[in-house]
Amino acid sequence: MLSLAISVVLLTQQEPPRLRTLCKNGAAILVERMADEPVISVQLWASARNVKETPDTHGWRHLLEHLVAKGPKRDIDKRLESLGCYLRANTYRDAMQFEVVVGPNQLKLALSTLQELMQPLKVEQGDIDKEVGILRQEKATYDDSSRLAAGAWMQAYGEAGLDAFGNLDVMTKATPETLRELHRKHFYPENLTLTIVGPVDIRQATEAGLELVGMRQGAVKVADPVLQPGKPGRIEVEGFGEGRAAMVEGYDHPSTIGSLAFALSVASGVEGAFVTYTPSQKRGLVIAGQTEKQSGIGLKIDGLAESDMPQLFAIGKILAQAWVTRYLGTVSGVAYIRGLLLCQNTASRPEAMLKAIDQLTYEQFKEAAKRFSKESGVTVVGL
Amino acid sequence: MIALIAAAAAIQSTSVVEWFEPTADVVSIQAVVKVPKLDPRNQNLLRLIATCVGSDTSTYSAIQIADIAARTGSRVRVTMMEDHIRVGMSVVPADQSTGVGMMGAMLRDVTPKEGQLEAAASDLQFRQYSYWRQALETTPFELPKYTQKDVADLISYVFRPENITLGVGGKVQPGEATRRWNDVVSGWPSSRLPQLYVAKPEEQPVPKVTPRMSVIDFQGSAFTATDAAMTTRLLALTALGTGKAASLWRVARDIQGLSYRQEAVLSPTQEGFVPRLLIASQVEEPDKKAETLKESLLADIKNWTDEDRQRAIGMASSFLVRGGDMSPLYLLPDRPISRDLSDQVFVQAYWQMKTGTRWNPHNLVGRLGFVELDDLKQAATELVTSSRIKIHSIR
Repeated sequence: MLSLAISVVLLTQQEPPRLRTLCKNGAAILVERMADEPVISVQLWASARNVKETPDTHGWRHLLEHLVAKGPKRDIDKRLESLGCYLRANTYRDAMQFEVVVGPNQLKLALSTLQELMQPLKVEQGDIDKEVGILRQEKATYDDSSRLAAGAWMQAYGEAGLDAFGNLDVMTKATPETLRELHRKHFYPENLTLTIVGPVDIRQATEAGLELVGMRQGAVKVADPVLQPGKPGRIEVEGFGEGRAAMVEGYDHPSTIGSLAFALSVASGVEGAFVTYTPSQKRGLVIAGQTEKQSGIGLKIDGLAESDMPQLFAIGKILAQAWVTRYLGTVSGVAYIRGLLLCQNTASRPEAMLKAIDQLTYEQFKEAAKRFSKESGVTVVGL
Repeated sequence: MIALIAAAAAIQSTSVVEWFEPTADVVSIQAVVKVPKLDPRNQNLLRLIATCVGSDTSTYSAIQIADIAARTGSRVRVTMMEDHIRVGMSVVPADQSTGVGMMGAMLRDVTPKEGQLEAAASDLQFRQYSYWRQALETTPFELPKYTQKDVADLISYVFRPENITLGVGGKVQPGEATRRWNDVVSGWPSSRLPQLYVAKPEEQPVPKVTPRMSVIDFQGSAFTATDAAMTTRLLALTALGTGKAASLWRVARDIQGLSYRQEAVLSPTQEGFVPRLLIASQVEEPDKKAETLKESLLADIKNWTDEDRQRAIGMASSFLVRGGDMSPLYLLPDRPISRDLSDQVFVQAYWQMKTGTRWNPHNLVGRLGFVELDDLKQAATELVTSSRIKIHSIR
């Protein structure tokens, strides 16, 4: 088994207590040992780099995620939950994520579950129509922070920033054939990243992971399209609340780290405020907003004086560090942040964010703060 | 208007729960203040007062308190539920003793200025919470009328050492928190339990709003932690609504397509824990749908097998001892307790306050295995049959 595994491994980089393995077929595996944790988180990330959404397919990925998570026999949840385990699925702009949380001796169960999800999709039109109905209910519960974020992305990046939820009207046009094709493309090995985090033996878990994703047939890797610089401005969206967004570069760029630190420090002084940022290799948005009241964040940002900045800088650096390390404190968090970054670029790692936070200068912080101004940033207002 | 003469309740001794977690790099200090049974006006007034905890005290300024918490990237957080107020912050281990002292000062010197209360009233009145939080609230906020005497009396009535249980956890120095807290309490001026003024309830006009959605709420009867059937009822609630293979998911989502989010919830109240089933839905005539759903749930329970019992035990062990986040333990205003250090310290203190015993989830899981299928089905049937259906209209 070990010799077989080694034959498919292109590059192995050990950094105790974790092992990142890049397979010849393009898939990536990251195993991290957290010996004292009571569960293992196993996350399969299916990158969207080859299957970008357009206005004509907006929401098909989200619909697909719902259908895939049911499993081919529709009994996955019952089987897992009977053993105290469970499955969760999420859709992001850059990927679909499937997480199975199991006990310390149940890694095989998690991997066999994910194997089921990768099987060719068996779905009929009736299943699709029914699931669109559920998605319609999900849309009704779509929280205001997500509505504000979707609006800000639309203002900044237009069709290149389509939200992950999707358009319900477009979803109704999906067919079994289109979804089967989408499933096939999403699960090309070069789109797959597997993260295994918890009380595991690193080598054994890596070998098991290789059997799941390392042996699939590869295809030609497609370069991820570059997101063009965004457009500042103001946008009104259906929902309650308001926010201000800074257009930023990649996840470890000083402008991004500075914007994150600034947003967190401002939001920490406003009860009920939120900060949204999904670490990405590409351009994106750091959003500070609130959904419990209709104003406050924008006013606070516009009213800041030069003399406020030193304290915001000091607090912002601590909060930004806490923001990253919070992910690194739980098995699900580690598997999430490493999987999210790895599925975009195999060299990406959260430690780069921590290093950038540590090296963030006061001048960089002040420059980043300017990105939230009315002129340079995106103002989003709920109506 | 009538006056309520406070009953001379037996005064409990102050209590501190220390919880050593060697892998933590901070110390979490969580105070749980027991909220006695109050009329709605005083309950609302207490919510206003609670928002002012963390302001300047006679010993520490608000800035000093904020600074010590900021060293760990935290800040003082105050939340209020029907039966308790939670005040929490994290400090670096070297600041543990100072942090405990600050917590004591914050709870002892609750002296909100009128401007602060007015600001809090304005804030709470117009704050719009998420649909889920709106549904979870057992007593929605309404602006109370009050005098300065009402405020002073209520503070004296609630913020008393005998009502406070302190949880200190993380990289703690064993015994240090208890010693420091005893110092705090020994310097706490004793005061007579005041009489609270109880206003005659006023009819509140029901605002006409067009709801964007509804949350159907099946509210069962409350049970306490010492209830003999507590284990069975908790397992029945889990079987009904926790997880993606629970009855509620199966019936409300998979079969009826009624909802995207549906969960079992255990809400802390004065009477005990209220088991609830919440179903978020955008449908016409949700009250009629609720009746149909009730019948379908009862039919589903009849078909439960040992697989359903095993699944419920599996999910209960997940949220009780493995930190699974699909959990009905909504001891916070908008989410269940998590494995986060501050939540774990809080639940230790809360359980001590509520039951006088230590929170021991492993023991609870062990007892779940003895629940028989027939008892489980009977408890679930009773929960659904006797439940009061409430429809929350979400703005």
